[in-house]
Amino acid sequence: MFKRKQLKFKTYEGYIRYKYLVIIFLIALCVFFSLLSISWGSSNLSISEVAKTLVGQGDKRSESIVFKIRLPRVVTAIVAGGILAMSGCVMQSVLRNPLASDSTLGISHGASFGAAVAIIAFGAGVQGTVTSANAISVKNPSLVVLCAFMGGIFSTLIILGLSRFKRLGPESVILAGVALSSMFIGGTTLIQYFADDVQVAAVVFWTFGDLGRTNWTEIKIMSTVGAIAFIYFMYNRWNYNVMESGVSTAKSLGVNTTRVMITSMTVASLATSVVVSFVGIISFVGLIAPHMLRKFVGNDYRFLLPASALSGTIILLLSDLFARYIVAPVILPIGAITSFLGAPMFLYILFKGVAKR
Amino acid sequence: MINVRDISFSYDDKLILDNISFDIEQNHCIAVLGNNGAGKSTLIKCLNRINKPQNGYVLMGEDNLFDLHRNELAKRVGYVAQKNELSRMTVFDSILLGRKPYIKWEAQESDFEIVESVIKTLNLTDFKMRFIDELSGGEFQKVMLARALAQQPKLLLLDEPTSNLDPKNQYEALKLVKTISKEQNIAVAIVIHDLNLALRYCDRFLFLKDSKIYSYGDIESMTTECIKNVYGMPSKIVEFDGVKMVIPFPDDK
Repeated sequence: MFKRKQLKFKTYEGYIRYKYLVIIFLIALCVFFSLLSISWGSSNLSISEVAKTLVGQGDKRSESIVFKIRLPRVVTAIVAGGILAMSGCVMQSVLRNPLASDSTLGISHGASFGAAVAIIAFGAGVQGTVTSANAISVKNPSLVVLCAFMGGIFSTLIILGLSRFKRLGPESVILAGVALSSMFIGGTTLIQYFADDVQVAAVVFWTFGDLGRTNWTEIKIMSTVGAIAFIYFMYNRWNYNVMESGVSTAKSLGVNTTRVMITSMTVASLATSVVVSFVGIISFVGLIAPHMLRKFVGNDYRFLLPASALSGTIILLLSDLFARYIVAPVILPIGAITSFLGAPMFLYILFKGVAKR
Repeated sequence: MINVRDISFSYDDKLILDNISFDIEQNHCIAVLGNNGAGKSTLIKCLNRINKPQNGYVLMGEDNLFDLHRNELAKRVGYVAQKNELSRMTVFDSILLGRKPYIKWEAQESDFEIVESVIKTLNLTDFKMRFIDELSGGEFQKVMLARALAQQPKLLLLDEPTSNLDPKNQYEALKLVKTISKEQNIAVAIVIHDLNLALRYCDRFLFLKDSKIYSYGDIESMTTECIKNVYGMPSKIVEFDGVKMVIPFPDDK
């Protein structure tokens, strides 16, 4: 791993410049992997063809491939990865818990349960053929988002109550997240039990986590929610910085810690619920992306938030490339890929000790 | 002048502070003394509303501090906690957080200038780009003090600032606090256990016992009888080289 001693700067301006460079580098990586992801596929396009098509100078075939198939997938990866990573980053800050993320606190499973209820019980989804990429598509996105948010916020409220009023330690809060996840998985199983075969297959497929099922309307909803969440989180970046020093110090520096904690968790929970309701559960991105970037930009949320969001998009773009090519033409569920990446990282953080950040 | 009036605070129906009233002169350091659990830390946390007292108020000039918005309060009252969480942050960034109450969207040039000036005052220039989780206890405590000073407070609250320091650093830290208090006209309240440190660097001594003020006064108020009644421990007070000193004298010999 990277040695802490490597980061030595003579001046503060130099240190800030370095952080900007990290962000520019991440943007460049993000653009590179996006173009790569758009160009790679069963009908290969060169990166120059992709670039031409994106600026409106491509032929009909490449336009159809780029705008109808590849671009929605890439934009979904960018938006979903960004939202999951920055939400995880904020959850880790306000809960003072390095293991916090939507997947470890039971928020994703809560949202997934809510969305499953909306799709099956309230008929907000339409089933296609089970084997197709669009085994289920959402016909009433607002109802799905609302139910997903209800599930996500339920977990959030329990977690907030336990960490704030019962003052449970970081590990105990994660155990509570495990319990909540189990409960919601149980709930989803029960719904499937009473559903017919096609619905069961559809929901199982739907919970895998897939970037290819979103349409432009859903992408617009996700992007809007993501943009609002990003602005809200950036507005609070100094509050998160101050909260790194502990609750008493933060209060003494003028931060209403309770309000920041509750509103930030609610916004993070809403944003991740929207992602989960459109792309299914994508585990661990919210956990690993902020931790990777803390090594480079420290715990300064002015830079950590955008850097985490960018690294989340890169992780999802890379995972998606991996999912598409490891056993091509079969596309593996991206949720499984990120879990394979995230679980060792989770163990690493546990091994390092959750108290040390 | 800061006037603390009728502060009462209970936690889970247990009365911790009962109608506490006292005054602090600008540029005076007061020591808040008493047994473990006497409510010393709770008292100073009540003064800047980290703990919300059920009763009472604090006047700074004509302003009731409890009527101010939390951000405005933070511009007048600085606080250094007993336990500060370590984070991956440079010394400069950490002190810059003291400007948080003044920052609207982004730190301005004036904020950086104030941070630089505090760094210079506290002789932190050599390690301003080091990370705070790599500092020694004494250096870290100085950084926490610097952060509070960057708030440009009129009242500084220090909760056991010397508890993790070696004797040399304990004396240096309090000497620094006293110098800054006099130079910058800041009132300081320090929760402290070491009576000799308090005697050397504080102007007034507030003893808490059974949720109330047992005594509050200048150096003459620190008597063997007071120490016996507050701490339940016999002691002797001697003067050495013109400095008053407390020698604990438990009756086990």
